[in-house]
Amino acid sequence: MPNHGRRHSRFWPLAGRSILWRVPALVAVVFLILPLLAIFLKVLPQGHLWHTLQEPFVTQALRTSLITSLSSLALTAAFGTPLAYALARRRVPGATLLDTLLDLPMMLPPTVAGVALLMTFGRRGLLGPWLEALGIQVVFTMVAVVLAQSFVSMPLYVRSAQAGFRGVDPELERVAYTLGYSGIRTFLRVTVPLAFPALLSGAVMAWARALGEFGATIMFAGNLTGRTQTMPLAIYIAMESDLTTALVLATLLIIVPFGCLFATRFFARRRNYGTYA
Amino acid sequence: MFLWVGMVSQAGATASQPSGEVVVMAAASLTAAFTDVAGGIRGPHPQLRIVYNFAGSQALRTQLEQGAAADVFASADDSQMQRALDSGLVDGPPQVFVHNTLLTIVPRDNPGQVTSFADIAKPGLKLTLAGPQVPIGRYSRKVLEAVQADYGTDFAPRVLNNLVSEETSVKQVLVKVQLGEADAGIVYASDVSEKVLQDVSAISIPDAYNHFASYPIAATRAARNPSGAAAFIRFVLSPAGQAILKAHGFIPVTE
Repeated sequence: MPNHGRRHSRFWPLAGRSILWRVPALVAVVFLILPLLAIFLKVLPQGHLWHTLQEPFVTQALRTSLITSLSSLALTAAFGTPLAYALARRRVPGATLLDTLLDLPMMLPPTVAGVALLMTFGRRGLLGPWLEALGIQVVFTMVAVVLAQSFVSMPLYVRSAQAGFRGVDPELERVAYTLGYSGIRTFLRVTVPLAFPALLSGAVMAWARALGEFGATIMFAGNLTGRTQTMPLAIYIAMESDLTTALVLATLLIIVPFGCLFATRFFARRRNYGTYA
Repeated sequence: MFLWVGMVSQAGATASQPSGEVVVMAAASLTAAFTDVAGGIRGPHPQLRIVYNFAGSQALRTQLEQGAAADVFASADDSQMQRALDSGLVDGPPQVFVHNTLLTIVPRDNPGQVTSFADIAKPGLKLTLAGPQVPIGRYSRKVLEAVQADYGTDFAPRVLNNLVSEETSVKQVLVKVQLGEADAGIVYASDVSEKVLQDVSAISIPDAYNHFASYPIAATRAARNPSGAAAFIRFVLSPAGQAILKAHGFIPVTE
């Protein structure tokens, strides 16, 4: 690929019609950024932010969110990577249908995801009797939070990883293989590094989505401080009692994913990986 | 749309017969009863159209603070109404229009083998309560406190140790027990309708400890349809309105 996301001249059919694109584009930018800015403008003058950050309600939500979102990221990578590679390389019958079905969980309303998970892993759900026989309780536990997060975020990762694997020239893999690398080694040493920018950006997006999961979590995992109450749930609960706490948590949930996304994109571009990130 | 609502409510304000749309924010526990009230009010006020927003009272109070348009606020507890009153959101004084008591519910197959109220302290039981910010959540904790005198001071801590989720409204507590995910929950007596009893069994809380909840109602200060709001409140307090509430398991104020 000749360009790496850097600026270069392109044909620009709207030249000389600047009002046609400048105004709507500006409206879109303001619309997308202003609400985020509003939170900062509300929260900054409040003072004692550091104090709020140290409240157990906040620290426990932070801890729960970190544990669950990182676990769901690990699950996503462990199961999503082989899936993405298979989808990118193998001829799967009914590929379009499968692709669409696999995208569905991230497009569904989270409430649908919550009901679906309850009907699957709940005590009276599809797998309920088996889980119960094994003595496994899912609903109301951190496992439920992780499942809810993985359910809605894995498709994001698979999508990105699939595109990344498609961009890897199979000829390179063949060469590595003929030079004596085993299949697994070829995948780990050649394929994954070449697709790495796409894997990384997919992972960051999936993690951010997991971190922000709310609807499916509150329906499927319940809401208990220190166990299943993640940051988005804590924001919802705090809104009804203490707005400052809600705002502080919201600020964190804006800054942290922004920082991660920005950093991965920034470094990916610097390393000329721009096409995926 | 806004213009249309404005015009209609203005007409409602001037005509002798209240008309137009009345937006009522009501505690989640009132869902079924108030839905029937909307039908019942057609008798005396055929031109009134009642639109509801049901949620936990604390959520409604928050929405009012954030400028949600509503004509009437019906809360399940005094503290949320008081906060609304303190912020100048409602036109005081609020009137108590109905009472309610609490019940313990368990799934029909009773996986936790709960047979008395004291059983909710059994180790390992999965109990759901509404969060302490929700009226029923606060009432439930009051009951646990009241019971301590007889059940021992470790009763409340043992019960709260069984807590698997703090739900955001009484209806969410009900659903978790109906689905059989939780072994027990505390809801209002009015929530346990005949339909609900197909999925759950009710276990009463001894009268001596039960909480006698009072629901206050008031028109909002920003009401777009004040005459409609007043008509709604009058109807809820009327014998016809009280009969509907009683049919749904509430305790009328007249009793």
